[in-house]
Amino acid sequence: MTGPDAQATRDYDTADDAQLVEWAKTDREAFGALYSRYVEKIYSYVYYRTGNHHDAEDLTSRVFFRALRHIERYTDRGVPFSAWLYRIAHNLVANWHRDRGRKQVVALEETAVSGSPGDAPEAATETKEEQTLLLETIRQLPAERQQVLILKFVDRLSNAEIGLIMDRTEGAIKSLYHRTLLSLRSAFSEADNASANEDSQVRADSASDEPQR
Amino acid sequence: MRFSPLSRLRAQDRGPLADLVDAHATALTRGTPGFEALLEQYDRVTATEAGDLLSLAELVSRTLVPVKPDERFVRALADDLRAASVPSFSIVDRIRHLPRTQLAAAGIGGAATLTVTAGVVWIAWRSEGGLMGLLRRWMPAA
Repeated sequence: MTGPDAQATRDYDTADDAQLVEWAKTDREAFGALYSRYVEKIYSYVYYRTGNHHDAEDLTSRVFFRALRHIERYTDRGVPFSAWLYRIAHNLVANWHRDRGRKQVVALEETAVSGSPGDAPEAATETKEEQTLLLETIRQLPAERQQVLILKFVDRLSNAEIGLIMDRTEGAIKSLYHRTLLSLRSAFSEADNASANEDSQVRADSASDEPQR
Repeated sequence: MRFSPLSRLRAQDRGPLADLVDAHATALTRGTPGFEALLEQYDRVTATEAGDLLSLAELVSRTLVPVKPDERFVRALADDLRAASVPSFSIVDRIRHLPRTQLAAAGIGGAATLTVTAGVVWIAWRSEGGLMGLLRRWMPAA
């Protein structure tokens, strides 16, 4: 059974990715189901790699259009559809960074950076500042280290899943995560000290500006 | 048996500290950390050494949270994808996916054709009377 009759009997919600991919080669609704499954994850990934919603929307669109264009030739050779999609996203983000110059760092727009619900207002402000500084520090890490943090914490993927996306073994991802935390610790501590020095300098300047009595 | 600095570094990566931070991250992303129970599995030295790394991981976990795209964007993109006409295997795609040997052969053939054409043009240009003179010499007189 092929064509519209076959499509009418398909249950897109319960079908697994592999089945949806096979259907999606000739059935746009099946591709729509895959899109619904992954749009938020891909968007989050791209957002943290680009730092703004405008480019995240643009690149997310490109990821799905590219997937649509190539899905006919996609075959699961040990790389599941989700990993394939992330690889497309990774390549597009890499091109995006290359086009804008390697050293440029884009500040993140106001995100869901927030303290814990029970935090007192002062503590919440402190936490928010800390989180903003941490985000800035993360964005200055090498791309693969940013990638492992985003895939682990934002998209909540296992080491095995991250390994498939980054073409590495599970053990290599575990090591990479450990090294990432170590480098993040020293970079964050440096950034924190620099920020504290800046604050005390500002306070000293404003005190010396006050009129003497 | 000798260890290079790189292999020592890799061995360190796979050590108890790497295992602990990895297990902690897994616990964080699966919901409740069960932090104390996790630490008990490791010796005191490793747990103390890991203290600030685990605190940092918790801060990362609270900071890197999923971001939701604008619903209008999600709907509009879904509509665009549904309406998009995707030509299957355009001529450019077909060329791009040719085997490397065929692509190389086509490149060499193309370059050779260009060289011969350029040579003919150059000879015609340099010959007495230009292109018309050359043609007159080659063609039988009417």
